[in-house]
Amino acid sequence: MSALRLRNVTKSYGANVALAGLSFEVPSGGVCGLVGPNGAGKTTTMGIVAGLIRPDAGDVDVLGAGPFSHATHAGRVSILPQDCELDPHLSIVSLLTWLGRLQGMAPPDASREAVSALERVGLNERRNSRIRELSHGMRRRVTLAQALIGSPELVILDEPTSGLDPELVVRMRELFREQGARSTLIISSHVLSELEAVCDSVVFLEAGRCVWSGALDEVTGAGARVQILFAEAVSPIRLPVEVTCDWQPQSLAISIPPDRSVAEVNAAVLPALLAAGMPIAEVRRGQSLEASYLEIAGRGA
Amino acid sequence: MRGAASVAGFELARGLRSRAAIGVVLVYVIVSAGMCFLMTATVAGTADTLRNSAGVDMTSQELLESALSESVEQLVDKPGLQRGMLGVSPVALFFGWTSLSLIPLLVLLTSAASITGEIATGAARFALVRVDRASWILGKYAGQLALTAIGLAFGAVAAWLVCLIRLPELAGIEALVSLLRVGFRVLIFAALWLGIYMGASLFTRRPMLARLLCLAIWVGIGVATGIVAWMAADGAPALGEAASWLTPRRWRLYLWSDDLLPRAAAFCACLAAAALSLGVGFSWFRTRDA
Repeated sequence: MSALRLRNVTKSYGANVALAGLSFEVPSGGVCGLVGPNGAGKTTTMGIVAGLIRPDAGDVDVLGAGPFSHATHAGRVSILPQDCELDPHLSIVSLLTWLGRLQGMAPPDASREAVSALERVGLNERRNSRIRELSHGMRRRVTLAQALIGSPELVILDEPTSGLDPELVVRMRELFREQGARSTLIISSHVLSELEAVCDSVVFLEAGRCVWSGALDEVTGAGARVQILFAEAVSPIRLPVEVTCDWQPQSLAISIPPDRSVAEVNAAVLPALLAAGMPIAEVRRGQSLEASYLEIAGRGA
Repeated sequence: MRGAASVAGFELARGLRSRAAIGVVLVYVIVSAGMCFLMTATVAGTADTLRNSAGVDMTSQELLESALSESVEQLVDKPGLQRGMLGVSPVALFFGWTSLSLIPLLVLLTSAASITGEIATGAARFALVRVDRASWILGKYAGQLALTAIGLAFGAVAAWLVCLIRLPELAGIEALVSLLRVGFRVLIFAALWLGIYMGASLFTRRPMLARLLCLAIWVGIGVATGIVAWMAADGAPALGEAASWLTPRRWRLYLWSDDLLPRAAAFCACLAAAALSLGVGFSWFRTRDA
């Protein structure tokens, strides 16, 4: 079952077209990255999924229960909006407890969930601090914590790591992987290396349309391509397996045939290269998400 | 309803923590206490003057009741209204009259941007993904009303305490009860203005624009009421009299009535107009992006 399905969704703000017939599907479970340049429609898409923005036309199916409605989705879908401020006068824990209660939890459960969410984002020790006493990064983590309250089946995070220091970004990555194992997580970010590290699938948006969607391995070619980099220029040799090769002076790109696995090809090719005295510097599976994105975006342009 | 109650409780708690709302509650207290002080000082001074220069020996209470009785009979022609006004303690009458005049401005200060402020900062999204928009608006309204009730209760007690210090003979327990009962009527009138302001503020996403819109509505209603009053007096008496039943000023007057029917009608008119305004605002807001 799909966690999310959009069909021909359109949305305009006056003369500006934000979504121009957007269609894509996100499988249930795992982490999905929403990738696109500024103005591609990522934030609008997330707002529509969470019922905060009304689409002009099209079909939205959230968790197999139609478009977002509070009767069926409250507590099952959570969102970390991109630009949002928290009330500076409140304590973190009272805000999160209240949000838990709003989504239907009993007071003790809401309180417990608030503490648990704060533990997950590493803010439990500051739970009684007022929002105004927190740094920008801490406030961002509070907004992230509110999206983790309860057991949401679909968690939408719009630029969740913006404003966080590198150490926290690594910690949040762990958190995203962990949450992806519990529910479906949709993350938008401009930092593609960050998405590559946590995503199972990606959706590329361009000018309000989906230009590509699918598994991460598929888009990066991780299961279909191996790239070997050499420390110095080498001359091509005959490989012991039948594969399509692209020899460059300091690299070799191998396309994996459908009947073979990457491991099989590596096991045959790498010893042959080493035996020929080739100085292997690095072996890569597929290409980076960034390169894939630029390739697909360039194709679209 | 559970969602609305939760929003209301939170709105109240947050209001009591915010400096702006605490400032407004303090204004209720200072205005009530200040006006009561002025009243008691004037009454005590007049009683002294009468005693010393004219040899008239009246207590402050007697003087006040006599003066109020005369004024009310001159200002109000309906017997039910006269009975209603003179049936409450003098300090409560004074408190009620002052509060009913000031409440539209005071609730404008607290409520005009309470919804748009959250929409503008994005804070509303945390709630709107969890609770439907109708419950959210209803909760915000109820929270603001509760905040106003607290302000009025503090104001009533402050007025009573000033009276207790300055003119103890006017500050019995009956006076306090009377103050609280009048405070409830003021609250009904506040409910009307809260509904008007919060309903109107739903048409914009900008707090400053919401405040200006509410101010314009307050001025507009004041001007319209003045025109209706002029029509009733000089221009077209029949039309003016009929139109005056649609103005908050008329409802405000009948909140004092001793007769149940006109008082209940004024209560209902205030609440219905608040509901209508909120409903119109909601019908616009429900289709907008948050």
